Amino acid sequence: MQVIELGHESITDHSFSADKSLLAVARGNRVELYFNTGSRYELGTTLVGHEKTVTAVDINIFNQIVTCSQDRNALVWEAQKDGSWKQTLVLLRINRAATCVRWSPNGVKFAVGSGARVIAVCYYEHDNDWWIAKHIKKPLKSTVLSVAWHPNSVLLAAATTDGHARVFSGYVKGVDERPEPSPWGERLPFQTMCGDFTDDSAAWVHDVAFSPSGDALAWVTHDSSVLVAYPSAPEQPPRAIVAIASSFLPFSSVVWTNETQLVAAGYDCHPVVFEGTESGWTFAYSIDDPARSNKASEVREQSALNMFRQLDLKGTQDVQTTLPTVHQNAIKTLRAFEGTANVTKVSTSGDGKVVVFAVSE
Amino acid sequence: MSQSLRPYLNAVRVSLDAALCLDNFASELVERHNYPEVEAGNNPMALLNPMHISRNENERVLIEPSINSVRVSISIKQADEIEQILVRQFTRFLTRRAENFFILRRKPVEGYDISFLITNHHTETMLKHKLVDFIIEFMQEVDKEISEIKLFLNARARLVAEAYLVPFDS
Amino acid sequence: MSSFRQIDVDRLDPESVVNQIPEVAPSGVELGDVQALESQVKQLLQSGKGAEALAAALARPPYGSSEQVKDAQLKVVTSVLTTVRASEIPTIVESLDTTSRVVLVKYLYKAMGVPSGQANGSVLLSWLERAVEFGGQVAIVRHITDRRTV
Repeated sequence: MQVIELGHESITDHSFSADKSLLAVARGNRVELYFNTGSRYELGTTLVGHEKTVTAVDINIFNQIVTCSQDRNALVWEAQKDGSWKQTLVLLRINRAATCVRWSPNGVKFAVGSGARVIAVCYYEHDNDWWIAKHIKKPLKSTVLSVAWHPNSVLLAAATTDGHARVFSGYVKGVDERPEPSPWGERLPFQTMCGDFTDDSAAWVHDVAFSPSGDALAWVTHDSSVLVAYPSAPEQPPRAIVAIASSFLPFSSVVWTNETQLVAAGYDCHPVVFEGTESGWTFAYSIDDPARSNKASEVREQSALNMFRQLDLKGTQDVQTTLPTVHQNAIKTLRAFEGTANVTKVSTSGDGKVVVFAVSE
Repeated sequence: MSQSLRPYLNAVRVSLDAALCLDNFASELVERHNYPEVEAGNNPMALLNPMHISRNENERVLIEPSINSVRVSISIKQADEIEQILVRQFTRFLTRRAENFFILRRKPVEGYDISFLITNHHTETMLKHKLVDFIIEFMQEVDKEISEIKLFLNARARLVAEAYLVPFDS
Repeated sequence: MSSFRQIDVDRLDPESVVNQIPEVAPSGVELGDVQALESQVKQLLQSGKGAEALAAALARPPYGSSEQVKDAQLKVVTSVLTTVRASEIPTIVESLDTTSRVVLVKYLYKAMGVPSGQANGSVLLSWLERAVEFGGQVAIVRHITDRRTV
């Protein structure tokens, strides 16, 4: 476990570059860039360009940084030879906050979710030297909280507050190769909806993720469930939708580590591992388990009188000042740190630190 | 402390803990705005089901969760007219100094004596379990405070009455 | 100020978020069903079968039904909750399945919001305490997020 302490202000999103030399952290109205000096991450440049809260940041394989903000804009940042960063405004054409942004795995496109009930799929147009957006509108009915790309860089999953997890085609002619047929669909013109999942309670979907092969989709909802869908064939109902009832507070972020394991993190301040297949998923173990933390033993011994007084006054036994977990507040972002088909480490952020956890128990 | 206070406070604690899962959420309705959805109340998608917790008719808590804010309203025990006056004065004293309490709302929700509004900015800058502790402690202290003030009031009234009646006592 | 300034224009736009009410699949519970349930529950309670009575009362929650039906069912559930002896509460809650426990939590929060339930606040609180003990905090999270209200 590696803890990168970055002050106290909460972090809305973080992203590592592919070689881990650069860490971008979104907090407040700015994005801070930390450079790996070998022993630690040191603050380099601060990207200032947004007027309102920066909601997401992502670095692609070419070390381009995209940021988006509640001021309705997205910016692409490119490093210049003199060490400065050049910003390019993206023509998103949305009239509400941008909520999330992710580069496609091949690094040529990115998708921006918004409160305008629109997903903007953006790509670079050489002729005009600008980033241009195409919109996915229907049938989104509420804010998009999160987007995730399929490994083929064409399919796109979206999580919305109306309780649906949807899969769309983000195929852009002239930019993308024609994708291999998959269980999600064969012919995939832009904006085709390839999957639409919801459950009875219609709780907000906080995050979605494709499995490393792309043949399964996981999403986490505000009623503390994790759901996994396995599509069968185009236009057919899915082979299986597995719901994992957990006993934790809601999760806000989820990633797959391999085809049979995923990690989720959220308001319980520590990552949780689930394992399973099509026939069923179960809770496996907690990373940074508060029940087994060393900090638990630090709780001071107290007199019996004091204990009963606490029980009576506050309904709890001990006076907690710190949580037994590394993160002291809710985890907002969970990302794969090492590995793609078999993720061995994940990074988390939320309160003022970025932590890299090993997935193995 | 009576027997039924513990389950009451416990219920408030677990309910608050479940409700305080907040996110930074910009308005879907007004461009470039970010306000507590529970106060605006115009976006049904961003609101969650409210929770009523009552010990009896007088002691009630209402927790209204939403995606980026939670409103907690407390009705304080008022057994007689003196307590009613005391509660009114006490909450007035606090709400006039609302900015010093960060999460205190300037006006209570209709039917309650005092309200708190916790937004995602509070949960980001303060520790969640400490916020919960604060509300619980407040509920506790306010009862104690009111009954203490009432005792003082009675004692002082007696003193005044005695002093006033001394000339007639010969 | 002339009255047109006070019109909430967002209400008039069917596409606006203020009109995006989460849809709920109706469970089709009618007033007659609740009346039948009421007599069934009464019988079970008279023969001392508290667990069966509660299970029956929680089996078909009136999701998407009219307020009148919901209030009638709330009365039935509250009558069970307040009739059962306090010592039986833990065993009854333990015997419920996860879904019923969530429905129970929904009813508890609703019952504590009306005067008749508030009068029995301490009883309802001990139910809630047990429901959280066996069902975990998740039961509460499920209650606040579920668009299907009782």
